[in-house]
Amino acid sequence: MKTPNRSALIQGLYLESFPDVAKYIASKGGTLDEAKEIFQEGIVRYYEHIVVKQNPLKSGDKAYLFGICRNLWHSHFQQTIKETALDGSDFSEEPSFTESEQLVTYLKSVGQKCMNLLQSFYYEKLSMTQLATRFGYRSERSATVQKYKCLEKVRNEVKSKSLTYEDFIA
Amino acid sequence: MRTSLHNLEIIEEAFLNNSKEHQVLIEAKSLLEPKLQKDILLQLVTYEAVKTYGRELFKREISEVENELFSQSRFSAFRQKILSYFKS
Repeated sequence: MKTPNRSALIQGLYLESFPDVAKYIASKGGTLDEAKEIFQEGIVRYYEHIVVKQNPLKSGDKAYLFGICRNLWHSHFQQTIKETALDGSDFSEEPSFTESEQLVTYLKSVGQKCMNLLQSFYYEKLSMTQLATRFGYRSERSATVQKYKCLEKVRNEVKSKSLTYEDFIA
Repeated sequence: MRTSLHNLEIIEEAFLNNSKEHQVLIEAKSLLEPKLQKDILLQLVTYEAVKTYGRELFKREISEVENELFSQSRFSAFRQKILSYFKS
């Protein structure tokens, strides 16, 4: 699902910052695929800091994103060295799904529309007016009530899976 | 809103929006409704699940934009610039 404002933000970040990040990673011996992977993760962290947690930036966007990507590259590089030193394998096997990913897969199967509505509010940070427009509710009040109905529905599904908070965030 | 939805709202205000007023209300209601503590934990798990799902959609959107930048002719200058860094 592409959202116009967010896609424009992503594209702007690529055009403005990816050349510097790619150049840095190439200078450290990294590949284009590694640069893309690092940059994608960098954008997620940037977005969650600025939009989801609504933290103001102390430095400029470009410097902040570059800093995240440089740190991610160092972590990635250290991890690669450690894994290679362990047994010489390249650890190319698929990662196993975590409890949270399994739960999300289940929740999507029982209520995709509610999950879409909830993520639009809690992750994309749409306002109630924007939420009402996107999902076709007549007023902010209707959208608010529907948001809580969805939250209750999803919470009941979580309850049915008998997971604890510790299981989930571990 | 019915009572169960109202409780969801109070928990959200207390734990997501850090409203002191709602935190006091939760403490008081917990004395009368012992199951509220379990509801709070379930609601926090739900927020984490929604965040995981939101992140999954966002990553998909990033990939779509990246694919456009590396395939559409109007971005060829950008693409050539990036590729030039990886020529050995």
